[in-house]
Amino acid sequence: MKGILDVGVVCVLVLMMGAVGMGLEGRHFREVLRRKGTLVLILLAQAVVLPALGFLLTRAMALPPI
Amino acid sequence: MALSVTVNALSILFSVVTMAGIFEVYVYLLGEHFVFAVPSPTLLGRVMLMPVLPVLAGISVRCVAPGFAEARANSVHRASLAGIAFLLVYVMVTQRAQLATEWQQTTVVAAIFMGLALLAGLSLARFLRLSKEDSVTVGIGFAVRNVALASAVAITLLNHVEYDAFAVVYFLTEVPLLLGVVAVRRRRCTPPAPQVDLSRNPL
Repeated sequence: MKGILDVGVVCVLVLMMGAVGMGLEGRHFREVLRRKGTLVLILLAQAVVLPALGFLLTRAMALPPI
Repeated sequence: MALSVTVNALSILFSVVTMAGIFEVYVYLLGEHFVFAVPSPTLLGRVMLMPVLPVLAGISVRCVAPGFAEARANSVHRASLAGIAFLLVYVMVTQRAQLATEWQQTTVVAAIFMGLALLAGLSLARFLRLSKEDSVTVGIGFAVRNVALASAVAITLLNHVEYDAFAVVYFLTEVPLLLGVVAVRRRRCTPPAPQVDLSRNPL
């Protein structure tokens, strides 16, 4: 089972991200990198808000440990 | 899309710092030590390369042969969807016992998490006064985690096959949310049909 998942998941990931890349050009990334402040704020918010949400949710729903 | 790819790549890159910080806070809040470890540089490199290399390959193809990329992008996308469908069915069949016991709780938790994360992302986008397109990207980026990448890390790098049952339920929960957001966005962004003055243009 692990063999099929090993290969399957990586293949799907490569195809998915490859399809995404086929729709992008360097200028799209240059536009994103021009807005450094926005990028930093989004990254910071993701690093703070999502773990906090996860933590609060596990406490509120009293989820069992893994 | 470039914003989403950039945020994903950078969040992986900074995960050494952010995960260490998050675990410190968890240890402080819970008062107990975690068994999880911050990713090693080798693991980080492999996790980083898994999504980045295919994106770079796709960009290179578009750069070298834009016509080919335009013509084949949909085929590659369809092939990835077929692969996802195959993996979903495979995991549902091989791990049906685990899924049967866990799917309800996982679905509820995943749906609440995604709803709150979507709200947080859209609120941030409004605060930053982003365009409608970027707002949707940030909202979805917050709510929809890259389950394929997480599965690849869990299965191929950390040898946790059982994680795939969770990934399947999480993925199946996020699909309706994604489709809903896309439908709302399309409805809001579709320009209204031009009104015809019938008094000036009698039939």
